[in-house]
Amino acid sequence: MADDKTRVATACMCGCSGCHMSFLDVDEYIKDLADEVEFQSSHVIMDIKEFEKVDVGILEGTITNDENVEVAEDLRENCDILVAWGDCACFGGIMTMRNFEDVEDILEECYKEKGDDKSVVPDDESIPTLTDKAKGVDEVVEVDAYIPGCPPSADLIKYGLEELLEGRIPKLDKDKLTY
Amino acid sequence: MSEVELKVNDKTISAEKGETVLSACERNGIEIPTLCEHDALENVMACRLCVVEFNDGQIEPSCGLKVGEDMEIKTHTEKLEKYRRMNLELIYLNENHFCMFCESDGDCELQDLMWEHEIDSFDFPRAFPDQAVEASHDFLVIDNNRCIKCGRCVRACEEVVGNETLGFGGRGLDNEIVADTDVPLAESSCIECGMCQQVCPTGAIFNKQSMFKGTTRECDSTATTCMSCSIGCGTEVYKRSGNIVEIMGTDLEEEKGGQLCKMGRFDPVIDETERIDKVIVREDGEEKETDIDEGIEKAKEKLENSDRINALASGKATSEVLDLFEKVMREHDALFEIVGAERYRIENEVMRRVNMIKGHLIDDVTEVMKADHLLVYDTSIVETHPVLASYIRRAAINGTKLITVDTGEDKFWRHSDISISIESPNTQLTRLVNEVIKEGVASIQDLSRVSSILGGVKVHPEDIMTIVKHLEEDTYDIIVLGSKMPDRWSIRHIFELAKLEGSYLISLNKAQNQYFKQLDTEELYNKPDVTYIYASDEKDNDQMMEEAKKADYLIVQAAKRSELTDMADLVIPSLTMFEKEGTIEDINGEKKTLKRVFEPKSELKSEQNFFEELSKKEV
Repeated sequence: MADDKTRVATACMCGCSGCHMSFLDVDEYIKDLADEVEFQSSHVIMDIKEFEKVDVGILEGTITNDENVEVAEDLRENCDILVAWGDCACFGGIMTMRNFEDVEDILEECYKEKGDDKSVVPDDESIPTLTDKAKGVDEVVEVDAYIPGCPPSADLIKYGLEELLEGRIPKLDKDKLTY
Repeated sequence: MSEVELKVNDKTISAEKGETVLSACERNGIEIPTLCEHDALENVMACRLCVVEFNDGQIEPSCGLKVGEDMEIKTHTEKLEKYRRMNLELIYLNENHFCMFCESDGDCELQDLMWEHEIDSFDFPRAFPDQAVEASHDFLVIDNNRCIKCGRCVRACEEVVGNETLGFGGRGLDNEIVADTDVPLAESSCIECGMCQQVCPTGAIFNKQSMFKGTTRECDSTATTCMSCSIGCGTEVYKRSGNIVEIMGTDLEEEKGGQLCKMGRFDPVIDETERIDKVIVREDGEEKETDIDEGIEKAKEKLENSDRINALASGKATSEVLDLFEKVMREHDALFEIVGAERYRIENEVMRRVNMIKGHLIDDVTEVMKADHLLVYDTSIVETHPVLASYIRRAAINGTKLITVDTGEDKFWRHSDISISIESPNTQLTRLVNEVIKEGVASIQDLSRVSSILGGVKVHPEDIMTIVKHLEEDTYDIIVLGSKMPDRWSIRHIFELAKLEGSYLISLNKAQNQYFKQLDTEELYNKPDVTYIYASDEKDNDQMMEEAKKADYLIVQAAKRSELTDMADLVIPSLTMFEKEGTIEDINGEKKTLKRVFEPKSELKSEQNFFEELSKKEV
């Protein structure tokens, strides 16, 4: 019955979607999952992107702009347990390569130095502003469970979901951890 | 050996006095995490992961803590786990690790430890230091972003290789591994042995040629012996899909430390020389490829119908093949020679003439590290036998007096105490040294009075007296002769010197497999009808080229294409050192095994079968 199902919302911030793709690699398990889980909104899997109250929130991707911050804060408010999938969400991941330079310098280099003479640094209110540094989710909101990896394998994601469905916070031990 | 009893995790163990707690625990099957520690290197207590609690809750790294009678040690408490976890985090966050694209991902000691301690998130912020990537070298890369500053590479370069190229530069977050005075690796004193790469726990030091072909944990491997010189270092060859990915050294006893050199570790991976995999027949201006059977027929025909046959084998052959090759060639009354054998014949003759017993010859080359004085003639050892050269350098670092004699540059210049440069040949210098010793001349002043000794020769008196003085004392002296020593007389004088002063000798020759010493070899015909050169997978070699040029009909058996094979009338494939199987004898006279790493990538599948078929008689 719909009320017994665990409600889940996912989002991908500054991510490659690899973690969501890896999730889809659970193959037939998704049928069993569908018996126990209701996806309220999701990156890739569903058209709905607006969060409502859910039991479990899952985030993939680095926090690199103010929109990502909003999404993280929004999901944190709307869920009981927040899970970080992948190195980007857990640690900041590959996007943190931009942290060696200041935001202004990066934008200058990308749009002015490497662009043609018509190129300008984008500046419109519809464009999210880059945060000072690219960071993992727990630098902005509290995270309850971490599934690192790039991406974490389908088995690990499945393990994490199974633990959650049993009412436990998944914690990867040395046989399961990858970066 | 006095014993100490102590308690570790409530279990009583015994240890040797002076031993570290870490070592005692390891011997008793108690594991303690380590990172900067390495069996072949001195402990430096840098990473602080091996911390233990003892007695009143004191905490110290066990790799430095010496065992004490009745000590009570705990290796895994909540506090220690917490410290280790924090420490690992700080080690990781202090650098720029991007595991997702590192070629050591899944094959990294830092990762292993972090996963063992279940680190899935960080409590501390990342430092993002500005660290250099040193990629100037053709194949070795030092990526300081991944370097945890454990210092293993620095220690290995000094303690195992004796080269002292790598060091730490800069302080704090700017701390990096640098070569010499922070110059590009390709321009430094680096001898490209790869010891740094072997001991590096993370992906900081790696080989460009091997990267992303597979980590050591993903590959199959075969333990075998290197055939590049007569030291015969143990190797572990990592392979995947029929290709060599990486080669590691396996002689992990303290003296050797898993050492290899560029010839053994890197050349096989980077070599792209064309392979000879079929028989090539060149006659009447035409060249055609054909099969092994036809090759055998052609060779037989030539051998059976010729009178004067020269047979020359490379020393890069297994003992079994050398035996067979000799046997087959002798069936045709060929003269038989092996590259490097002439030197050995000269030595034997010299030993007879100066009445020297075999006891003067050392049977373990690591003894150079125990000598009080080392007198090295011909410093090309640095290139021909790099691992022996490392033992010589280590000896010099640890107090052995190193005197070198060379007609060219002293290749040990950074470590030698005295470099004697002479004009070719060495003869005069050593002859004079011997005369001085026999005359009992005690000082330079005495020497200049004895004008009959000096009479018109171009040798510095100081050089003579230096050698005399150092060998005279009742000390453990070893004279090392490189393989390029040219003439009979030099060798004669040096052996005589050894006998006069009771010094020991290590005399090198150009052959890899020293088994040749058990075979009869001789000088070859000047005008042969047929010359058969078993070149194996040796690179071009002066002696082989010289013989080839004298040849009327030239047969060359080789694994790779070269100037030599291009000259031959008949080319027969040979196996590479990774396809061979058999035994070799090293410079110490020890028998070592060569195990086949790959199935032969040539039509010739077995050299032993080939020679058996080439033989007239049924085997």
